[in-house]
This record gives sequence, structure tokens and C-alpha cells, in this order.
Amino acid sequence: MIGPTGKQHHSAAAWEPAWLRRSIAITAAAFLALFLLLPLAAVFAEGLRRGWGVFAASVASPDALSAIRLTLVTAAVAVPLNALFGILAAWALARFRFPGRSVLAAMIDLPFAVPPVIAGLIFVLLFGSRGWLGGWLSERGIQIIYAPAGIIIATVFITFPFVARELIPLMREQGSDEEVAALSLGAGWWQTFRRVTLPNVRWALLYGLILCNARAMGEFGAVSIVSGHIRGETNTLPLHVEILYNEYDFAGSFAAASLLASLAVVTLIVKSLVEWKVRRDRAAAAAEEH
Amino acid sequence: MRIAVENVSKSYGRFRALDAVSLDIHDGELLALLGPSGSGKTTLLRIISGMERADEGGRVFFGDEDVTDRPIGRRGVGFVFQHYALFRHMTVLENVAFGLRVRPRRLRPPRSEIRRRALELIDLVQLSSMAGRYPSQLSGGQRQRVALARALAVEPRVLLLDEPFGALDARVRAELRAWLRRLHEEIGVTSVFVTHDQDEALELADRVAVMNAGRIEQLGTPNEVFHEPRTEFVMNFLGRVNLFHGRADGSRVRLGTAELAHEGPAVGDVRVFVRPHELDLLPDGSAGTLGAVVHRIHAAGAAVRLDLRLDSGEMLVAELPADRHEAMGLREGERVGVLPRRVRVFGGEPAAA
Repeated sequence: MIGPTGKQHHSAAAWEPAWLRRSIAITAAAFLALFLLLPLAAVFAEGLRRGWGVFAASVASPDALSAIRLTLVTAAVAVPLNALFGILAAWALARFRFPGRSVLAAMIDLPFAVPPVIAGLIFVLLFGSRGWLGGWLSERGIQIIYAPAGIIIATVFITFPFVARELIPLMREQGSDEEVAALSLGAGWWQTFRRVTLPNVRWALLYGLILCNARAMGEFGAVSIVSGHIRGETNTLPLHVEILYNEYDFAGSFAAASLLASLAVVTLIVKSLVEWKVRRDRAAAAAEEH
Repeated sequence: MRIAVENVSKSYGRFRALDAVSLDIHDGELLALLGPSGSGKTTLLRIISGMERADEGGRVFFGDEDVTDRPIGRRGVGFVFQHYALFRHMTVLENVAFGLRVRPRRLRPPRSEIRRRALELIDLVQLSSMAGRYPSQLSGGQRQRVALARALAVEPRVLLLDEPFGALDARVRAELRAWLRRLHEEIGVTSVFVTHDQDEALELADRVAVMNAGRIEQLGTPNEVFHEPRTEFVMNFLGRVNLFHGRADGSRVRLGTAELAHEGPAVGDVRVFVRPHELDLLPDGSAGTLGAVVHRIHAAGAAVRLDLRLDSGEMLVAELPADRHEAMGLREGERVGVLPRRVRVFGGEPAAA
């Protein structure tokens, strides 16, 4: 479209009486405080109730440190892998028509559709000692179930959709003209990808990575099934929290939980910043269509 | 660079977008591919560019070189997209410099040279003050000029433009059209553009290929295709026409009460085409005319357009120069006699020679 971009505010709210608007806003805020902020505050309060000393001691205990390490390693493997898979899948789906395309599109959401517990069981069924591949693996001395490898595999599965789902709609909206233009100007496919495709989706990619990371660190169900809860070996932070809680070690449990919760808070802040950027990019992409 | 397209076909599933098209494009000419949507014009352009491949058997030559198997990046074409396809995260300068920057190191000019050449092109498209802006900060016409500068930066052998003015409003369109014509004369690179707008094709191009249903119906100068249309489709597509049904008998054709001479010999039921400006209006009842009532007069414009209702009930359009219209002093509702000056006849059986 040419000329000034007309901003349109079709805001029905402007026609509602002020008292109604205000009471709706207050209700929403109260709901938010009650169900979201209060629990979060409770976690931190509970974790710090016996003072910094106890908090630090629980966080620095060998089991906790091991859980933190495994959580970080899991995320460090799962996030880059899913960034790669996500970009490839999004690229294939947004750019090409091929047989089985709609099947692949549906498959991307599979990890969201399958309950995490079932996802965990699938991997036990596949890799467990009595699973399909179990015999073959144990002959070679490879252990996946009840080992960090299983936790990583389950996490990769669970967090697969995040990146792809962010990229597909944006890449569709932007179309492939810019990439073809780059090719026509003599750029190779890698140059085209690095200089055109990737910069155009960078904020959406970052957003997907943040969500992917949050889930990779926080996943409980699937990981719980394949982990075996071996202390100091196959416990991630969420599993560690549960174990301590079940042992009535509330201070330790909430200390670990507050670590996870602060991760959530950081994620939330970064996410809102990036989300704002993405929305701007997408609006610009949509405006350019006209 | 002379371009030859030989026997090129393209099918998408069952749809035949191009049907054994051959076309010679002269060195340095500006050629228009003109046709309605679905006529295959864009497909032909994309095959020339290397963006798409012709079906088995078709070949594309640039000069003497067979480029059929070369992908778009290796053909030396500059392509301008209908929706510009500027790199949205790069400034105007970066957009124009892109083609030079991505060259392999041994072919890449030094940084300062790239910058100089990009700025020179930005100057050529009259956007010197905009070099640091992003595409989203430019108007449609400015974006299209950046796209053109970007395509020219790689010194293409051929410039290909896909509906280059399609997304612009009428005023900007007309300006940019004249500007592109001057630019073409200045740089002289062989250029092909696709359009569905006959005015654009006729005004801008050295030659026009009129396309329909995957074939080239006629190839010629704007004058030829407009004044000597070889097929009914070309007659219909280029400019406004009035259609009558008549009976031909050799070189004469009967239209109701009028009998007229026409060019091609034909016999039987025929379709008779008359351009609005090739109709004469005479006083009602003049010999050999068709009786009609003036239905409506559109006097805004260089020529005056009159909607007429023939006594047979058919509607037709006539165009008169404004001064002649004034001299005749016609009013809506008045009766006139219509005399086609020049008719073209299609259909019927060709008469035995």
C-alpha cells in the first residue's frame, strides 16, 4: 500500500461504560494475582523461609548440583538440535510442495498432542531392556533408559515443535520472493540462507528457542518416566524438586523450585521483549504484501 | 544479448501453462509479454530467467549459448519482482550492493568499489537521498526503483520484469513507465516485461507478444498488433471493441441494414469487430447507416465517448474527437446513424480464392 499507513482502532471497549471496563480489568488482575503471582511468590517465600544459609546449602548440595548440571546439559543439547530440526522442517513446509507435506505438517504437532507420560513410555518401549531396540543396545553396552541419554532424547521429542511452529507462519507470510531474488543475484543457497532467510526470521527463531529452552529445563512427565530417579545421576531439577518434596524436605524442595521459578521469570521477561519485536516484524511483513 | 526461446512447453499437473512457444528477442529491445492472467506470460518469463525449467524438449538460448540447464544464478539475468522482493532487513545501499557482495572472492570488487557502484546505480534511479533507508520507509514506486537498481548492479545480460508496475497506483505507474522507457534507452540492455495492461505494453515496448492460453497469438510492434490484429483474441484484448454478428459474402459483410466492405474474404455467419474510434456518426437515416439512439455521453477526457443503443437493441460505444462532438451538438436521447468506417471480420468459412 502506498501513502500514509492508516492506523485503525476498532476498539469496542471505547463504547462500554467506564465502570464496566474498570471492573473487568480489576477482575482479570485479581485472577492473575491469585492464580499466577501468589503461587510464584509462595515458592520463593517458602524457599527462603529458613534463611539464605539453608537455601544456599540445599542448592549447593551434591545432588542438587548434579540435577542442575544434567538440566543444563539436557537443554544445551536439546535446544540447538531442535533449532536445527525446527528450521529445516519450517523451511521444507513453508517453501516446498512435496508428497507427504501435510503429513509432516501434522507430525510437527505430535509431541504436543501426545501426553508427556505417554511420550516417556514410548521411549521405554523402544529403548528399555525389554523394548524393541533394548537387546541390540545392551549387547553393545549402550544404556538409554535410566540414563542421561534417555532424558535428552525424551526432551528433544517433547520440545521439537516450538521452533518450527514459530517459524512456519512467518516464513509463509514472507514468501520466497526474497530468497529467489538473492539466488537471481548470484548468491549460493548458503549465502541466501545466512543473509536473507535467517535474518528475516531471527526474532521468531529466538522466540521459539526461548520457549523451547523453558520447556527443556522444565519438562517433568516424559523425563520422569525414562529417568529412573537415580540421585546424582539421572535427576533433573524438576525431578529433584519432586524427590525432596516426597521426602518432606520442604526447604530443599522449595529452594530448587525457586531456581526453576526464576528461570520462568527470566524466560517471561525475555519472551515479552522478543514477542513485541516479532509482532512488529510480522506487521511489517503483512504491510509489505499490499 | 539476443534471446531465443525454442519450442518451450510447461505443464503443471494437467494444466498446460505454455504450449510449444518459440520466441526471438532482439538484442537491446524492450519486449512486452502481454496477456490475461493464466495466459502463460509469467511462466514464460520465469523460464527465460531460469527460475523454472521448461518441460522436456524446450530450449532457451542467450546469444549462441544454450542456457536451458543453467539455474537462475548462473544466467546473468536481472529479475524485478512484482512485489519488489527487497531484502527487508537491509538498507537501500545494502540491497543494491548485495549482488556484488555475494560474489566469490576472486570476482568480488573491493569494498570501496562495491559501494561506489551501488551509489552510482542509486543515483541512476534517482534515490540518492534514500541510500540509508530501509524498504519499509519507501513508497511503492521508490521500492520498485530500488529493485531495478539492485537487478542492474550485477550487470545482467538480460533484464526481466514481472508486472513491474502491477502494485502501484495509476499516477505513479504512468510516471514510472515513462522513466523506465528513458532508462532503457540509456542503458540499452535487452529487457522483457510481463503485463496484463495493454496501454503499458503498447506505450513502453518495442515489440509486443500477445499471449493467450499458453501460446503467442501475435508478435509485432505496438502499431502492428493494435492496427493489424491477426486473431479475434488480439482484436478483443487490445483496446475497446464493438462486436456485431453479421453475414459475410466474400469481401462484403451485412450488418442489419448496412452493408460494408471488409479486409479478409469470408463467407457465412461472422463476428464483426469495430473499434469505437472507427465509427462515424451521421444524421439519422443517412444511407447505409445503422439507426441508433444516443444513450449516454461521457465528455470528460480527450475523446468523447458515446454509449449508443442500436435499433436492434445491441449496445455499442463510439469515440469522437472533442471538437467534432461539439460541432455535431449531439444530446442524450437523440437519434443518429452509425457508419463503421473500418471493420474486421473473424469466423465464418474462408472464401475460396
